[in-house]
Amino acid sequence: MKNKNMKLSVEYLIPKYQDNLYQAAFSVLQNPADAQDAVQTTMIRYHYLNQEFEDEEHIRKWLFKTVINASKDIRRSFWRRNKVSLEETMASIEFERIQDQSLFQEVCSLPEKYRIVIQLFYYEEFTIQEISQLLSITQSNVKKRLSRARDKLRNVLEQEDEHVN
Amino acid sequence: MSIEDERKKYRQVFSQIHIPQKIEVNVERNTRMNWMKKHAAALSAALLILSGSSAAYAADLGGIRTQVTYWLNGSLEEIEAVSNEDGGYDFYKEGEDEPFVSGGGVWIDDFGNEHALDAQDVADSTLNEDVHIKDDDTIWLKTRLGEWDITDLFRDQDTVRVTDGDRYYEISCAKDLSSTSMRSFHEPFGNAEFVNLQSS
Repeated sequence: MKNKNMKLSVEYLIPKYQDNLYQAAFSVLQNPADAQDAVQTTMIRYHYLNQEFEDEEHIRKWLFKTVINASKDIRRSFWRRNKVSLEETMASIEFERIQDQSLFQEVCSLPEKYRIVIQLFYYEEFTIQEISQLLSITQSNVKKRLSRARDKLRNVLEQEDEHVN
Repeated sequence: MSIEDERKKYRQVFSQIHIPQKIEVNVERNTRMNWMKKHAAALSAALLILSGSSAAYAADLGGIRTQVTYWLNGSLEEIEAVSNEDGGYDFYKEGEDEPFVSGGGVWIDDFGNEHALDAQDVADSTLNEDVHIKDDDTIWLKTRLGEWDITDLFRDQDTVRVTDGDRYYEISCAKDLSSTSMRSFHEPFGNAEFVNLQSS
């Protein structure tokens, strides 16, 4: 049995994970203020949690599972903030290249259930099994969603390739 | 294009997405034995302050507040949930100062660790779910999705596991019907089999 005797402080975790958690929350909510709230809720919950973990990776998975659940909470809430249009959100981000903006826009146009899988797989490098645990769906579903998302993104990814070449 | 190439392109774009307001932390600690904590400790964190917050939540000893919804007589109602000292939530109707119900609960991850349910889940389980025994000694489970007679499931056992297709329930009932208890979860746990009430 693994020992569970680790509880890292929020002072350590917040700087390390806040952007990653924000990106995951944003993939669900597509609203910067709501995604920020989801991250803060997650950190508050972690801080008050009476529990220890096996290692930092175990904490990381807990953080991602919690921020995704917090995001879904916010999405369900009637008190959700006024929607910010995707155009307004994109205008606030300074992309280094035009192609980056195209890919971002394309990802944002995917259904939410594809966006979060893509984020967890491509960016966070979670395995299929880990993603299925984080999202409480079967591995088969994870693979389907990933496959469909990749199909939809293939064009814009290849266009970017052509542009570079 | 390989997955690694796709990953590289994706990361190139999304590494440019940053949280709008960096969270700064100020944790005050004290050496007083804290009555709020389940585990007595010589040092405990009494207060967590997050600056740069755009949230409506109050991260203080007064509790974290959030709005949740629940079904009352077929219509969706809104109430406020405030975290309490027991790790659960007190629920308040609009304009009232006293909670009308409180509750809490846990979900179990794949490592067997228990985690506190969020406010909406607690509302779902506390307000929308109920197991009760009717005057004719039948045992009924009520959830957000419906009501089912589960008496027959207890013929040979004291504890049953069922699902309404949305949530998963473990229900115990004393042989003399003097008491019942119930736990509910987002997802099935362990290797237990759950009777699907929708198809039975």
